[in-house]
Order: sequence, then structure tokens, then C-alpha cells
Amino acid sequence: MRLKDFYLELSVLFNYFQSFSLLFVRAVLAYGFFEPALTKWRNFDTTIEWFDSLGIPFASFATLLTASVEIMGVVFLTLGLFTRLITIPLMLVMLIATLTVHLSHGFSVGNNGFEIPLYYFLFLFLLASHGAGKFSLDFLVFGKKR
Amino acid sequence: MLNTLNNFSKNILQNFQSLSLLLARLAVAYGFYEPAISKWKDIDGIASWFGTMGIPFPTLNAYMTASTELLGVVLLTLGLFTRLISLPLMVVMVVAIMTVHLAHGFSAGNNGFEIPLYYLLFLFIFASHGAGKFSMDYFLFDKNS
Repeated sequence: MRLKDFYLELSVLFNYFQSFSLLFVRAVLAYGFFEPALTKWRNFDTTIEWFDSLGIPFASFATLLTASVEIMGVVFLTLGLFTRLITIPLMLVMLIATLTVHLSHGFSVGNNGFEIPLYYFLFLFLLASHGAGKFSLDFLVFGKKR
Repeated sequence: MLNTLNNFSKNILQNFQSLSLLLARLAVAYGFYEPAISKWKDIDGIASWFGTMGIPFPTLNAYMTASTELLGVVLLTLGLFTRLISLPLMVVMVVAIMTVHLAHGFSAGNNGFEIPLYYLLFLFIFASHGAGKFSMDYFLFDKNS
């Protein structure tokens, strides 16, 4: 039972770092979405044509939606504001990116496979289920009451 | 209104904590599988590679890294001693970033530190949040606490 006590003590200690880990994940994801978001806004028409060639319906509307979700993701993930709400459309974007672009290239990043979008999807799923942690506007605005 | 929406999404999405931890654990275990196997297949080559990078005690460190990675694959899959194995794996990732990837910048396409950074973050999440309910840890340690 010593092992069990040790592991429980360790858990109590490590639990203190939960909000830190969630903050780091949010910051890195926001950084990761920054470039794709900016590229889509800068080359809006090219992105529409690209989406169209991928067989995505309502290409111009889908481009507007994707670019908006991504740029909102950058802002909201950084602030930790409406974190759970923004992760859902971002997960959807990752899913569609995997299905339309990356899946046929296999897993590995070196081959433009679905490795990175999968990791992003998993990070977003972790944020959706665990929230933004204490270092967030969500905690200031919504967290204190409950 | 926003408060209600936030609480509503929170109440639903909170139920997926253990599932998200399980999926992340499996992905990271899968990610460590290939590096671990390739290290064991050519442990002497790895030792001399470590030596050229200026890592001290290259043979010992090659065995330690290969053992940690292989143990990581098994323990992360089972969710056993998840918080404990996450720490040495995080060290492996930090050393990999410093010795190999940092000089190549961020992007994964250029062998930058993007992917090891993602692994470091996953492992930090596992260390601080544990393995969730779908794990051996939960059966062995957490049931009544």
C-alpha cells in the first residue's frame, strides 16, 4: 500500500500544475492557428478556389467561416475566453482538414499527413473537456461563482 | 445568457475528460513506438550518434532513452503510473529539442521543435491531470479517492 500512498501524494502535488499545462496548450494552439488564419485572410480568393478544388460545397462561404473560426480561435484561446465554445468549431475545422487534405497522405508530418491536425484535434478535445484552467478570462468571468 | 450558455457547454463537455485523456495517451504512445523500436534495433548507432551531439555517457544515455521510450509506450497505453512515466519522457523531449531540433526552428517540415513541443505539452497534461478513468491507474489508485 506504500506505492498507492506515494502515487496519491504525487497526484495531489502534480494537480497544482493543471492550470499551467492548460495555459501552455492554449498559447501553443493559438500560435499554431495564427499563420493559417492570416494566410487565409490575405489570400482570400485563392483559398476559395482551393476549397472549391477540394470539393468543399459553398466554397466562398466555407472560406469565410473557416478563416473567421481560426482567427477567433487565436484570440479566444489566448485570452481563455469562451474556450469551450470556440474549441468545437475548431475541432470541426481540423476534422475537415484531415478528411479533405491530409488523410490521403498517411500519418507522418514529413509527407503532409494527418499527424499535426490530429494532435490539434486532441489538444482541442482536452481543452473542450477540461476548460481553460485558472489563468483565463473564463475563470474570471464565469468560474468564480461555481 | 452567456453565463447559461457557458454552463450548458461545460456540463456536457466535462463528461468527455477521460475520453480525451485516453485518446491523447494512445496517440502519444503510438508516436513513441517508432523512435523506441528504432533505438533498440540500432542501440550502438544511437550511442555513437548521442556521442557526436555531445551528450555525456552516450551509451548509458542511449539505453536510458530507449528504455524510457519503450516503457512510455506500454505505460501510456495501459494508463499505468501515467504521471510518473510522463516526467522522464518530458525530460527526453526537452533534451531532444535542445540537442537536435532547436537549431532547425519551429516548423515540423524543417525538423524543427514543433512535434517534440506538442509531445511535451501532452505529457505535461498527463502529469498534471493523470490518465483519466479509462486507465489502470484509476482501478489501482483512484477508485476510493
